[in-house]
Amino acid sequence: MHIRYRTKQVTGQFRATATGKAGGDATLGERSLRDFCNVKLSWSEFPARKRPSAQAHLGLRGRETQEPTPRSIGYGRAPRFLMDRKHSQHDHNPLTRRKFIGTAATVSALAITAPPLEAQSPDHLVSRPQDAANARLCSLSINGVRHELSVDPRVTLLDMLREHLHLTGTKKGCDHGQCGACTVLVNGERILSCLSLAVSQDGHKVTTIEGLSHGQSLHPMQAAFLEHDGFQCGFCTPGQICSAVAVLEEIRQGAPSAVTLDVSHSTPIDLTEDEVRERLSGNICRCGAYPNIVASVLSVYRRERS
Amino acid sequence: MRSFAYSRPLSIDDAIGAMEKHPDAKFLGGGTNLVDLMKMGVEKPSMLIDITSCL
Repeated sequence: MHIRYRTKQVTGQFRATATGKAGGDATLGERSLRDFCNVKLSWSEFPARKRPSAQAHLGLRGRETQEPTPRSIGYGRAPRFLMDRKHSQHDHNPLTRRKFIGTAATVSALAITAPPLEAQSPDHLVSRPQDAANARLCSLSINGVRHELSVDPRVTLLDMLREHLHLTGTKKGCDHGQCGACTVLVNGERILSCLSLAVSQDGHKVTTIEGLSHGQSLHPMQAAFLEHDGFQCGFCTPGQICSAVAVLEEIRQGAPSAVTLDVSHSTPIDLTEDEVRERLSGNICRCGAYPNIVASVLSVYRRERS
Repeated sequence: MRSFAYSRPLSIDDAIGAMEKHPDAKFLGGGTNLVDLMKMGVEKPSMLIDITSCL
């Protein structure tokens, strides 16, 4: 009979699972192992890592029972430095700055080489020899410059812009199309570059935040954001500005939104504050600079009309 | 994201023909939903048929 057991240190009892010769499993729940199989187990028969501490077995509260092993975060074992931190209070295994930085660097290096993250690293994807056969040649106009690129179909437009062309003005926020930070203009319309495959933009004209300004002269929307303080941290700003530029074009073309009262195209759509807030609702700003963003967009709109 | 083949047919007939050849392929319109699910490994098509050019 093969016996597997798990220790329960607090009570000193064992959970026993027995596998009979017939092949059936019988889980007997919690009871004394000695009662169950009526054998005398010597201490050495316990696997070392499952051996209950002598203190726990005797009902004493040792340090192990006071300080349980830290649970892992996510899956896998907890990082070593997190486990060390528990003991640092006792100066047993102090966590030093050097140890923390060294461990963090090791964890980062491991993370970079971990296979699941390959899909997040487009440079890696594009340059992998085994993917070369799958790569497609794309011809895009980006900010007025024609680019001929060989990209893997998995690479999103955002990753191609940032990692391949190093146009890092377009930001990666959520990478799931929920925040709008990655908004760029394709043929004058705003799209979420994180959810658009680079290969599907073959032959299209992409404009990023870098392409809105002409040399040192800013696009009117960029100047308005500066003038009205339309940002705090600025991470969402490239997306907000690209989106706002497209909104003004949508208004010019008479495209209604969910809050447009008259959708009959009989009168031109007036860009009100409600319209701006609705049309820019896909661009989230966690600094909450919305009043100034709305003011920026409205100022450009009014200036264009006058 | 799993590796997949990408095709961009120019006509509806070509798109349907490609789907018949690859039953586990997916049509790609814009990608808002499908690309997100592919990133998370929920959708694992062997081929994407981009139908934006034949609309």
